Parts: sequence; C-alpha cells; structure tokens
Amino acid sequence: MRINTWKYYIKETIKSIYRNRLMSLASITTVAATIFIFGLFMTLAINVNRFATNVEDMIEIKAFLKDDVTTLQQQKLEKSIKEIPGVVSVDYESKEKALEKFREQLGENKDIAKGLEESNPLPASFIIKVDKPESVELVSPKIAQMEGILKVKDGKRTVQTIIKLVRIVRYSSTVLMAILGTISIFLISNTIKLTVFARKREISIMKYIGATDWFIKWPFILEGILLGLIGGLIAAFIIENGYTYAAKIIQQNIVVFTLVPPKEVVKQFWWQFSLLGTLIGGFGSFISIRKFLVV
Amino acid sequence: MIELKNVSKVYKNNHIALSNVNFNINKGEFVFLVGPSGAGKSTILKLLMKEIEPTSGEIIVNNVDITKLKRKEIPYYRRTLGVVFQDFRLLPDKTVYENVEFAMQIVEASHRDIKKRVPQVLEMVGLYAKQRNYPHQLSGGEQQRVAIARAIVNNPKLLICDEPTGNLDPDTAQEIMALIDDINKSGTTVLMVTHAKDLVDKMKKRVIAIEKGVIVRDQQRGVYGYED
Repeated sequence: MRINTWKYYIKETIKSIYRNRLMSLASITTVAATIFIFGLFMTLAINVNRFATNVEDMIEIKAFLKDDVTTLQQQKLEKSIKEIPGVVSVDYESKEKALEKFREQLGENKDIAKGLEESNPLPASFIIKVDKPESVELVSPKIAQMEGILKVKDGKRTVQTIIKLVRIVRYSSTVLMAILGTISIFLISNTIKLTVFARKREISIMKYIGATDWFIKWPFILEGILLGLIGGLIAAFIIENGYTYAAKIIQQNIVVFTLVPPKEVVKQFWWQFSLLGTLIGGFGSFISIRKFLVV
Repeated sequence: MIELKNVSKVYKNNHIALSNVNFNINKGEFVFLVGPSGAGKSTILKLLMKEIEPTSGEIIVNNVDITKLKRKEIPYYRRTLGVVFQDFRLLPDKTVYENVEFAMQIVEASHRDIKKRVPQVLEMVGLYAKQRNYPHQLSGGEQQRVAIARAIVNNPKLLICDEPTGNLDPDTAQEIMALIDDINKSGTTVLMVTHAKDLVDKMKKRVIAIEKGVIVRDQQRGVYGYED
C-alpha cells in the first residue's frame, strides 16, 4: 500500500475523531476507565498473591500430644501423620524443647518460667507443614481424631481469610472487567457507527469511484484503534504514577507491610495497556463496520 | 464496448424492470437512453455500475461478463467507469481540487500523478480558477463540471451519465452537454440517460428508447420522441 494512501487514512481518522469529539472523548474515557480498573485489580492481585505466598510459607499445623503418650506411640503417630496426603514434613518438639522455646519468648521475663522443670506443663507437639493452604482443612481434622492427640492448632482462620480474599479479588475483577470491557467495546462501536453515518454519502461516492472495501474500512478501524490506544495510555499513566505514589506512602508510614516494588509491577503496563486498548478499540470498530458498513 | 444479451431484471416485489433487453454499444459511441419514468433506464445504469445484479442474461463490458465478477473485483471494474449524477454528489467539505483529487486517492494514484492530472482536468472543464472554492460557492453548472472532472480524472473508458442536466437551466445544460460531447470526441464512450428533449434532438446521436422494460426503438442520429 502506498504511503500516500496511509497519509490519507491518518488524515481522515484524525478529522473524524475531531468531528465526533464528544463521542470520541466518551470512548477514550470508558476505555481508560476499563483499563484503569483492570490495572487496579491487577496490582491488587499481584500484591495479594505476593502476600499470600509469604503467608503460605508460614502456615503450619501444631498438634499437641497428651502427656501419657509413649515414645513408641509417638513414633507411630508421626508415621501416620506423614502418610496423610498433603503433609510435607513432620517435626517433633519435646516437652523440654517447648519449655526452652517458651523461655526464649519470655526473654527478660524468663523468671516466670522458673521451677517449671520439675512439672513441665507444656505439652510435646508435632509441627506439620503442608503443601498448600487448602490442605490445612483436610489434614488437621484427621490429626485431631488420632489417639494420643490433645489438641490441634492451625492458622485455619487466617488461611481461609486469605484464600477467600484472593478469590474475591480474582472473581470480582474478572466480572467487573468483563462488564466494563463490553461497555467500552459498545461505546467505541457506537462512535464508529456515528462516523459511518456521518460519512454515508462519502462512502457511497467512494464506492462509485471504485474504492476497495478495505480502502473504505481502514480509516474506521484506525479510528477505533487510536481511541483505544489513547485510553490505554491514559490508564497506564494514571496507574503507574498512582501506584508509585501509593508504594512510597505505604513504605514511609506502614512498616510491616510493603507493596510489591513499582519497578516489578507497573513498568510492563505501558505496552500491556496500549495493546489492550488497541484490541478493545480495533474490535469495537470492527463490529461496527461489519454491522453498518455494507460495502 | 457494452453488450447486453437477453438481460432481464425482476425486482423482489415481482416488478419486471427489464425483460429480454439486447443492445450493443461500440467503443467511442455517444448513446442516449430515453423513455418515460419507470421504464427501466435507471435499472440499466445500475446494472452497468454493478449496483444490482440481473435476474438473467449477460452484460459484457470491455470483453468481460460483469455479471460473473467476484465481489473483490467490483471496485477495479468500477475504476474503468466514470459516473455523473443529476445531483452532482460532491463532498461538501472538500474543495473543488480536493473533490477531484479524492477520486485519484481512492485508486491509490501517486502523489506526482495527482499533482499533474488534477489541474489538467480542472483546466479542461474550465474550473481551474475556482479550484480552491467549496461546492456551495459554485453554481449548479459549475458543480456538475466538478463532478465531470472527477468522473474523468482516472481516464475511464466509459462515462455513464444519469440525467446530468436535470437540475440545470437550458443554457447551462447545453454547456454541460457540449463538455460531455468533447469528452466523447476524445475517445470516451458515453451512455446518457436524459429527459432533455431539445438537447437530444439537437445532438443527433444514437438514441435507444425503452418502455416498460422493453427496447422500443434504437436509431442512429435519433430524436427524443416523447412529448415531456
């Protein structure tokens, strides 16, 4: 295709966007909003995932043993716990070790634990690691039922909350994005529809003169792509700056929790969002052309 | 150049627009197509422009049966035609120059060719001086000249005119007719649908008359023959 022809396409595209500037603005805004929310959930998901992975590593089940459990019974228990699917490792912690740990935790106040050696009230325990957070729910009731087990403690609540949170973020972002994506495709196709109608006469004249279908279609597709691209870039700009700012504020004010560094997250957004906007825009105008531009 | 063989056209509402039409137009001819409203004149033009398809029959233009053209080939076929309408069909937001240039852009002509050819054609139709004007700043006759310039800028072999003087006063109509006659004399075949009795009678060209979808008269150096 000639450069001259492309010049013509680009000129027509820009003219058309300017002519329908209000609709164009609306299209750009919805695309930007869609991708912005997409980006928001993406950053949120990245952070929740990161956070979840960190917490997952810390998840363990603690099974306390009754005092009357013999060494033989203890070994048997250890063996049967290991056989439960999902269990990765089992470590035994004796009464003495438990006391030692307790002392360590007390630190300066270790005097409180003085004299406990004679009649150590702390139970021996197994510390069980599982392969994934979901396994906790399956493993810990099985251990609780075993002979000689006093009590099972797990981070069930915490685990469940995290799993739920991750799920909610994933599902709601998917649903919301689907809705917003549909709206932006609809708005883009509507904008293109207006352009097609505004240029109906021109299109019919073009056909008489012998313009090919694609010669007629290209300016409309370019228009959709351009609107989508601008929307994507706006969203990327807002997300990048917003996230970088949020990460800085959180780092300065909340010590225990930090966001995944902006460098890892938002640097990819520029091209990802541009591509996404282009796709939304291209698809929107493609629908419209198929429906309204019978060439 | 143009050959219609047993062409019939029945519209969806069962209206028979053409029944078994046969005629032959040679290269370089100037032919008037006359007849009352609804006789089938427009149907013939639409068939030639590939706007509609015949129900049966063959239409041969430049040795090609255009009824067998594929969709993709239609634009390239249309480039061999120039079309002039009663209502000019100019683009209001483009200047005279741009309207003519547009036809060359569509066929993806080079910038150099456009720059050379457009002024040439504008000179020929006598609108070189008004090339920067917009259609609404021109008289009807001038607008039709722009339309003619646009129709011939890509050197079509056949010029199809659908009542080109229908919206013009008699003097202007005569000027437009003279211009089209000039174009014909330089080798372009012309097929014109018209109701302009005086002009047809004066031009003494071939006249094909059609009534109710049937050719009723085909005479060389003919006359209009109707009283409207």
